[in-house]
Amino acid sequence: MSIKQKLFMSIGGLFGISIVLILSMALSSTILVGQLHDFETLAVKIEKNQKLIIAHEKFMEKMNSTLLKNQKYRSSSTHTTCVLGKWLYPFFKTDEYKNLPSPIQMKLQVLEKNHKKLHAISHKYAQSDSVDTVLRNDLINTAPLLFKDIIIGLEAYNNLLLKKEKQIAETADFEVFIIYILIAILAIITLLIGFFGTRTALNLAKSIKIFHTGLNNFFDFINRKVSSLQPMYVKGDDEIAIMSQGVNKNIEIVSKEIQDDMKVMGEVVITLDKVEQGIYGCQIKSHSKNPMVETLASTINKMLSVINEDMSQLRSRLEEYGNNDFRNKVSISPKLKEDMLAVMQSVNILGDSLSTSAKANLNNGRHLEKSSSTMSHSVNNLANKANQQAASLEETAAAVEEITSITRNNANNASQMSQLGSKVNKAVSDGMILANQTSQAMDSINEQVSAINEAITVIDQISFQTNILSLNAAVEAATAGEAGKGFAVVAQEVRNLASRSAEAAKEIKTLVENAATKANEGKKVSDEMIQGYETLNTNTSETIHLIEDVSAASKEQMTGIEQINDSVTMLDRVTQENAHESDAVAQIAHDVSKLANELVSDASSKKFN
Amino acid sequence: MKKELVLDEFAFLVSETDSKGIIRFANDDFCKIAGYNLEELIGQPHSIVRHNDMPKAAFKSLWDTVKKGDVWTGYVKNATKNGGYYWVYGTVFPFDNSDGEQGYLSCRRKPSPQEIIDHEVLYKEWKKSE
Repeated sequence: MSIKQKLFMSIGGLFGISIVLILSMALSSTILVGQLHDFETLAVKIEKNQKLIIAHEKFMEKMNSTLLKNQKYRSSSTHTTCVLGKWLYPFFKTDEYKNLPSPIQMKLQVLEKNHKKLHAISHKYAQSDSVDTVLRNDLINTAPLLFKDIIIGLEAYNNLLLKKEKQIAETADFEVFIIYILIAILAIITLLIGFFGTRTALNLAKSIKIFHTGLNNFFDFINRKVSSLQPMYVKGDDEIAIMSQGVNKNIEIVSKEIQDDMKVMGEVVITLDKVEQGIYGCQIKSHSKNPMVETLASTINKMLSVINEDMSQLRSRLEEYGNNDFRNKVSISPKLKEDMLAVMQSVNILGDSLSTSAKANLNNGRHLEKSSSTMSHSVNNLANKANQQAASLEETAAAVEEITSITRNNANNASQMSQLGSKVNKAVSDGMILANQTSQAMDSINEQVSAINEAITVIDQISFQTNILSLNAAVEAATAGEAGKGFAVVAQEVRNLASRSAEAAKEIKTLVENAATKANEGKKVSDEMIQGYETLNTNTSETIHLIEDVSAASKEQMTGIEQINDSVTMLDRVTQENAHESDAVAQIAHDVSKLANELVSDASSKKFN
Repeated sequence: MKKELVLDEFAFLVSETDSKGIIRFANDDFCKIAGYNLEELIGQPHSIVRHNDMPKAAFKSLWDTVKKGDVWTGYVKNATKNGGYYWVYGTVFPFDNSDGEQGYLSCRRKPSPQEIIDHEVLYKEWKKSE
């Protein structure tokens, strides 16, 4: 039931029932007042009737005494103007009279008749001048009867009124009883409504208090003043109960959301602590309905995946570099800026440097290996040679002795050679002259050969013309027929001769050409001889010069050889030291070679572009 | 009397355990308040911070709840390394850690002084009836 209904029930109910009861009471009172009025009216009528009755009784007594005293009385009133008549005749015209029960009507009719009769008699008696004894007796006899009937009529009517009055009084008693009942009911209902209203109000106040406390707790919970919250329990189904259910529902929702947020935040804290410690491979997996928290979590996740990706790239590359593999580079996202970009670029530069360095190392190593191998070889040779040198030096010393004597001989021989050289020089000059003459002779032969060639050309032309002539002669002889037969034979012979002479000329030409060739060859030989002699001449001059130098040198040689002797001695000592040194160097070269091998092997194990 | 360490308003103690309650990670607040360094905590059961005043029923409720996959909340009195203690309002979530393994995430905040008093009394009663 809603508060409105409860309030309506308690206050409205109270009001409504009060109104109904008050209206009922008012109605009852109105009826009662009406009845009291009727009662009063009746009482007046009854009183009036009583007065009429009493008045008539008194009148009758008065009339009786008057009559008995035999006195006259005066009567001014008629049956209509007397007190009874004034009441009675208008009364006959009223509805009241018409509604009266018929016996009463009849009694009242009798009353009217007798009243009229009484007035008539009494009037008649009063009008008489003297006392009429008959009338007086008549009056004395009839008047009481008439009065009796009048009083009976009045009493009957009065009794009816009294009966009515009694009825009204009874009804009024009942009405009063009803009013008391109504008041009692009103009091009971008011008490009941007051009781239930108070209970409702108290319940409402209690509900509001529970709700108020619950709401305060809820706010404390939202404001983190308390950690947990129990749902509030408000009895019933009114607005406060519905509101409390709504708040409970929200407590549940808010608790759930706070829990969800807390879970996300817990994960955020753990994750960021991990990141602080260098752990990047983590993600926030929980979700929140709070868009800001959710955005925070997804932003952190995005950041973590990018950083993790970058870090694992950097890690892989650096591990590869650590394992001497410089081939791969870090791939840099175009979104990267500032520090990470600088780090990644630096790693790539490092990779490049390491790659270049490794490549250079390998090249240098190989070069060194080759060089050290050569050196090793050379040093070995050197050592051998040094040893050999040492051995040789002894021989050298001996040889130097020989050289000394040889040098002496040389000096002598050089003098002799100088003399021989002069002779050779002379002979060469002579040879040169002869060669010139030979050359000139060869030129002459060539000239003669040219002349012979011209002559042969003439002979050749003659034999050609002779041949043509012989042909003409043969033609002529043929034309001459039998007479020319002999001539034809001659012509043939001439032709044969011409051909033979042509052949002979050709052979001569060949021979002459051979001769010319030979002559040319001879000239060439003589020219070469001239050249040879010139060279020889130069050479002999130089030789003589050289021999003189040799002679001079030989003397210096003698001095030199002595120095050589000293030097050889020193050399011998140095050579022995060299031999030792070269052994040491050989060891070093071996070591260097080994190092170079190691260097190359190391450099080769590295991978680079 | 062992010293109580009262958390500040901003304290947020977070730890991550595996499915058996072995600590896999803990945040700075947790380490600082419990008095351990992270290396000392990792690999240890979470009961390393359990206080003797805690009734068994509380932890039974915790394990029964989280093993069902529900979130557990409750007030816990924890022990520090040097013998002190501190009260927290804990929320334990079942969750999958970053390696994809099933585990629990425990988040703790400062309870109100009244809540501490209430539970101190309540747990004493529980402890008596054990």
